[in-house]
Amino acid sequence: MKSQPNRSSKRFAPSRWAERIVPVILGVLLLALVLTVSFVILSVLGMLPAG
Amino acid sequence: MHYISILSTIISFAFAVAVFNRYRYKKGPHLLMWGIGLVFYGIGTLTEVVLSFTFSPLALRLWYLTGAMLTAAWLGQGSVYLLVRRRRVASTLMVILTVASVVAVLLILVAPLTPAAAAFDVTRPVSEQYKDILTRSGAIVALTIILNLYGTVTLVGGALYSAWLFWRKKILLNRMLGNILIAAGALMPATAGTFLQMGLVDWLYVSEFLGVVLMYAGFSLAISGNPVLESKHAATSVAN
Repeated sequence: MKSQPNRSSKRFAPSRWAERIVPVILGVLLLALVLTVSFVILSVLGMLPAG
Repeated sequence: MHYISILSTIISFAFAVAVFNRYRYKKGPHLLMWGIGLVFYGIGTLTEVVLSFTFSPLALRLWYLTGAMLTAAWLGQGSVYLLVRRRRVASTLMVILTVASVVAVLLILVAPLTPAAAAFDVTRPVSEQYKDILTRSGAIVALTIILNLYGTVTLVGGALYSAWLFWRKKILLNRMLGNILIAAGALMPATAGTFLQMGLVDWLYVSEFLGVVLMYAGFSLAISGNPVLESKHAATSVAN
């Protein structure tokens, strides 16, 4: 990914690999968040060993 | 493991100073909340250092209070202030968090310690021993879970949401990447509880270190460039 100049140093044009990898990274992080929250909730419900 | 905690403490307080410095001239309540959250983070890791040299009931209580109960929630409250447009909602949540935090302090202060405290082993992680020493009532456990869920969802979710917005609009590359790093960093200590239950007690210290390093890197990246004149974009940037 490279930045464009000026006003628009605020805009960027992602490269082809970035077009693919950024959504994957965001998806993985979201999945990790969901799993972490789910683990805590399942523990509270007694479906996993409580902490 | 105390070397990692020492490093985490230094980085946490340095990070807190950087956030408070930014708060001095930008004045956003989100920066104040993040600064407070980072001070809690630093106190949590500092008490780990203390407990790796000697046992102290106060250090143990502070470790649990800051590390397990308050840090994530206060950091997450910063994200709430930044991302929730309705100030009344954010302020109401702030009042609830303040009351919950005061209750947490009181509960932890009066929580009895068991005789196992006498057998505290400084060579073993506190994360492996605290359950035998600190009597956690149902209220403490419930409050810990609620505060952590609130903090994790708002901090990580807020950073991911911001990163997604920047990505979708293809603007402010530094803030998009910064928010990704913040989300990844915030997830690290959030997973510690899960790994603790799996018996990986040392992961807590590693996760705290990686977490604060990633969040600091993300924050620095997000505010790089034009630090003062980007207020128009503040409402959509977790790391402003």
